[in-house]
Amino acid sequence: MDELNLIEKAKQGNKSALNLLLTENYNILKGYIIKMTGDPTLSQDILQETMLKAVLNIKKFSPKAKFSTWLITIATNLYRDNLRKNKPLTELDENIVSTSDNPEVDTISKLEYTEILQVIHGLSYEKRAVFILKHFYAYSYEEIGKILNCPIGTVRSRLHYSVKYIILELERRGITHE
Amino acid sequence: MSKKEKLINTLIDKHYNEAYDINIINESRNQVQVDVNNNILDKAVDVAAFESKMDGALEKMDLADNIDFSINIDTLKIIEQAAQIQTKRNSFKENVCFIITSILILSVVSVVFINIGIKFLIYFQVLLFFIMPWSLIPLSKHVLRRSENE
Repeated sequence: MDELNLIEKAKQGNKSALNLLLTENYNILKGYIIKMTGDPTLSQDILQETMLKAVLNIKKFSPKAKFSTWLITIATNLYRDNLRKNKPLTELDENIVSTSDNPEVDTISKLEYTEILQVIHGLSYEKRAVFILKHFYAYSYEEIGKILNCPIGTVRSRLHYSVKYIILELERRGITHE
Repeated sequence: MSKKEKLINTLIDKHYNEAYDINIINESRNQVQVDVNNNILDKAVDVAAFESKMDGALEKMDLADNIDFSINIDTLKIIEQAAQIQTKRNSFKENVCFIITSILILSVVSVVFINIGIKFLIYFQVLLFFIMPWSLIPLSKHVLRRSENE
């Protein structure tokens, strides 16, 4: 069943269509929130709140954009609100889930992941959002502008800044070499 | 903005398949002049060198795609929770509507009663006595249909 059909059914109150929509977009949303927050507890809260808000407001959703884009917009707004209310968290390493059976490889990759997350979190939330949306989800400048509610020129300059910062930061940390 | 900065920005746009000015890159390729300053980005005026440096760095960033936290979310539970919130909101709205309507009806009745007197109250009650049972049937049918749709 295509997304438009599912959305239409979900709007009419069909719970299984709604559930399917959420589960199909779960991984995209989860990945985005993890990269944005870098914190497991906050990720869980924002993920849950985003889905709840989406279910409550499904009737307001107009399928001009993809459903995942709408979810990302909600998550971004919730994260921004959270940043305004609370101080940003910095613990990054302990809760990363292992993907390898070898403990040595596991420790090295955990260290690497932590460093990568730290580099991403060195960017301000606006620049981080632009970089994540462009680099990991290949959104166009225009789409990012709509998600973050800012002009294309701002998106472009934020991305330029982020990439330059990442190149310098990775070299400074010795993760990449000159 | 300096020429070097413009070139770097253009190369980033190119990397992400966004619109860019090819002339800026061509111009720089023709002018093989690598600045050997201490600043890392200064050396990157060489298009090929900067592109490989950028590709390497951004490839490293792809590792972030493998980062996962153990998060357990039950989507069905969220849907149920949303349904409960929706029901609460609806019952609140219905209560407010009921109170406003009751106040309106009572005030209209009392205004008319003050102007016409006890006669009106008797007529009104007789009318209500005959009409209400008939109006309740379609009303309850409508309510039932609405709850079935929900």
